[in-house]
Formats: sequence, structure tokens, C-alpha cells
Amino acid sequence: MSREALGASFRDPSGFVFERDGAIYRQINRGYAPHYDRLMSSGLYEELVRDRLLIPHTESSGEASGDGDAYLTIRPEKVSFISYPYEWCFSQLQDAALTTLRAQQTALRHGMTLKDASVYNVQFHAGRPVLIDTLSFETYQEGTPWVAYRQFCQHFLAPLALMAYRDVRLLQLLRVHIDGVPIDLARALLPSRAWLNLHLLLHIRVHARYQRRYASGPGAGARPRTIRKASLANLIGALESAVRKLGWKPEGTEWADYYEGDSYASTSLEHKKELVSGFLERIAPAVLWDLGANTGLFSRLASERGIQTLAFDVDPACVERNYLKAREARATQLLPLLLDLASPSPALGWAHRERASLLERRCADACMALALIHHLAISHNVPLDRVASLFAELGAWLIIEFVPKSDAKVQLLLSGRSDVFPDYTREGFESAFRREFEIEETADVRDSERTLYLMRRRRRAS
Amino acid sequence: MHRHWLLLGFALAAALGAAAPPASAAQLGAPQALLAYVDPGAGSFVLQALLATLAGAAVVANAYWKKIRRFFGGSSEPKDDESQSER
Repeated sequence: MSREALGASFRDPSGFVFERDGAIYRQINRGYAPHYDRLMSSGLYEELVRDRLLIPHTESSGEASGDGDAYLTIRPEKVSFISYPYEWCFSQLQDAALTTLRAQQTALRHGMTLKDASVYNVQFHAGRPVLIDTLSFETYQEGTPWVAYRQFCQHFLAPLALMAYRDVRLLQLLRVHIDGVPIDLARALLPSRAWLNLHLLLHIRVHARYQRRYASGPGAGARPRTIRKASLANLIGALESAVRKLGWKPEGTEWADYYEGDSYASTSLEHKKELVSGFLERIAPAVLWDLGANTGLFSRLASERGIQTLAFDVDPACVERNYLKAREARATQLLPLLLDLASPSPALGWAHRERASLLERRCADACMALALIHHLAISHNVPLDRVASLFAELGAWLIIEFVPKSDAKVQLLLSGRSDVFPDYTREGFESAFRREFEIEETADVRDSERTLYLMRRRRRAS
Repeated sequence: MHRHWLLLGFALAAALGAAAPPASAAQLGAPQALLAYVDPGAGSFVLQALLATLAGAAVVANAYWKKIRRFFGGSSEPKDDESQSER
């Protein structure tokens, strides 16, 4: 029986990805065979895998898609969670860009080149960005340009420049533009001071101008001109310094300094850590989603126990700080990601099947929602029973903190608006969550009015 | 120290961006990658060829600049990171 390609795997004629019994396989089509053989025999594959630039794979003789064009099937190491660039922070996108350029430099040294530079080909695997598309490498022909130059500028350089020079939230343009931020749009949105950066002047501003000028093709009478390999390597080097020169400092947001501020008495914080550790010890989840993770203080209680932890937060500065800390510690089990739980990543792309929605990617055994409920219930006006149903869809276990109205943080949210939340009480909270969960344990956090709950889902969400 | 090259770069950028592109650029043909399924973009390709040459020139110029500075007894190591931007 023939296996169908996954929703995002159709653009490249070299092969496709399919799934069987929960494992991911990649078929290599006959047309790509010489390139694959070169990748494996030239030493490029070993070097890329050694430098952790490419996902390792094994050749799988027993599995075939049933498709007649097959040359070989490979089984890449499974990436535990597929994330998308609009869920990353600045440094995650920057590191992904550098991975792509390093892979291209390495490929050129082995007589091969990257035939695409899609940001979606990079995934975070054991804490580091790696290329997941083994079929991206093709034999380099002396004199040819880098066919993926435009794509690299759109997928990496333009969004990074917009984040660094205009506003970090412009990363979300990638949600709208499936093939990266159009160069002319980046040119229009970047401030004048961006043009003092020579790289941006050339790769964005002049680039946009050339695209407009040659919009109808290279023109009649054009004859092929060549780019020497050394020049191409220099261009990749220039792009690398263009990417490295961009920076964004995670400061000035309300949440990034949360734990440094006065939100918690140190005794409450320590007690809360003890309670959370105890709950984690008891339920021992394989995968934990920490929703509203801030800079990951509590996520680390899980990831340092070997629990694969996704630390979601709505604030780009928190995600940035969390990622920088995780990168420095070489954490393999912690992945910080950007998420607005009030409007999570939707399904995008062709037929809504190229990029999965957050719910389609759910994989948690347990969710943690500390100091989050008041933001959902009060700031976003989401009724408590709806919050409970979403959490029940996400995981079988829930560690959740209830923050009462009398808490200073809730008072702050309520100041200047009318209190239309008569059910926002501990009793109201418990009764709303009992529809979906059994309350297994309850503990008051010392020196605070807050309560921690350990809950277990009653029934599988449909 | 490397601001000289930065200025030279800006002058070249202005030349690239202003008026018509050089005649040689207009004669560049389409790329011929074997399994190119990604559209390289005609304008992107023309610009890439020019920038690749420019990047090469910057590397050579940078090397000479270092030699000149060494000859006059200056440090051979750049003090700031601007040499990076000249590649």
C-alpha cells in the first residue's frame, strides 16, 4: 500500500516524508540518487552530523512508501517537537540562520551546495538548531550561484533585521508570508538607520531594487555568467557577518524581570519550588508543557529531572532570556517557545496542512500553569470552564496555581476596570475544573494567598 | 580604522543602487542548478553575482590594509569588529 506524503512535504521533487507507526521516514526519489550518494560518500554527511548541523539518519531497507519512484528510504532521528520560526525568539532565529550558513560553507568544501534555505528546514533538536531536510544538498556545479540566496534573505535576514531595527514582534510576519518576508516589504518597514548597516543596505535595500528592475526576468540576449566558488564562499561569509551583527536586547518588558521584582517573597518562591518538584516526582511525565513559563525558573525543575520540557511564554523578552540561559547551560531537554495562549499558532500553508496548529502538535503528558489563570480569566475574559477544557485537551495531568482576587497582581489587573468576574473565586475555580479533572492534591503556598493544585483528567478529551 | 572600507562599500552600494545597473550585470543569465525547485529570482541572482565579487574584493582589500598597517608599525589585529563587516 502506498504511503502519502505528510502535508508539508510536496515542494521538493527529490523525495518526501511519510509516517508509519509513529516513525518518520523520508523517501529519496531516483532523480536525487546521485546527490544523495555524493552526500554520503564525500564525507559531507559525517562532517555535518559531527558538527550537529544535520539530523542523523539510518537507511531503512525494510520500509518503503510503495511509490514507484523510490530509490531509497531513510529514517531520520525523530525531532521530539516541531516548532515554527514564529514561535521562536530572536536568538533562536539567528542561530537557525547561522546553522544554515555553516551547512552551506561545509557543503561547498565538499563540492555540494544547499538547494534551499527554508527556515522550516531547521528544527531544535536536543537544544540545538539542526537541518532536518537531508535532501537539501545537491552537487555543486562550478560557476553556478547559490540558488537559495533570495530564500535565505526572505526567511532569515529580513525578519532578523526587522526584529533588530524595528520591533521584535514583526517576527509574526512569517505567519502571513509562507515563503518568508518579501524583500520589498522589509525595505518599506525598516527605518532609515538600518541603511547605515552596509549588509542591510546591500542585501535588503539594493536587493529590493534589483528584484523590481528584473521583475520580468533577466532580459533578452542574456548569456550565462559565472560566480567563482571562492566568491560564493565570500558571499556566504558576508551573509554570516550580516546575521551576526544583528542583535536584540531582551529588556524593558514587564515580565522579563518578574522574579527579580517583588512579586514573590523568597519563602513563597522556595516553597512553590518544593511543591512543584514534589508533584513532578509523583507524576513523572515524559513530556511537560509549561504554559506561562516566564524565563523558565519552574521549567528547569522539570528539564533538570530529564523531563522533556517545552517552556511557552507570550513575552519575547522572557523567551529570549530563557533560550540564552538554556543555550549557555547546553540544556538538551528544555525548549523555550513563544506562544500567546489566547490565540495559539494556527494551521497554515497549503490546505492548512503545511504548518500544524499548536493543538495538532500536542504531545504533553502534563501541563503546568503557574501564575497564569488570572491572565486568562481576567485579562482575556476567558471563562474558567473554557480554560479547564483547553488544559484537559493538552495533557492528562495539570499542575495549576490559583491566584485569588485579593492578590496584588490580580488587583492590578482589576484596577481601572469593572469587576465582571463574580465566579473568579477559589470555589468557582474548583467547580469549573472539576468538570474536567479530579483534584488529586492541594497545597497553599507559604506566605501568600495562592494555592497549588495537582489535577488528573477525568476523561479523554474528544 | 576600517571605516575607510565601510565608506568605500557605501560608495559601491550607492553605485549599485542608483541609476541603471552596470551593463555586465544585465547580461547575466539565469542560474542553472540541477534540481532547483526554489525560484532564485532574476534580480536576486544578478545582485548575488555582483555582491559575490564585491565580497571577494573586500576580503583582498582587507588583507592589503592589514599589510599596510603592519608596515607602518600598527597592530595587525583589528580593535573593533568592523573588519567582520567588510567581508
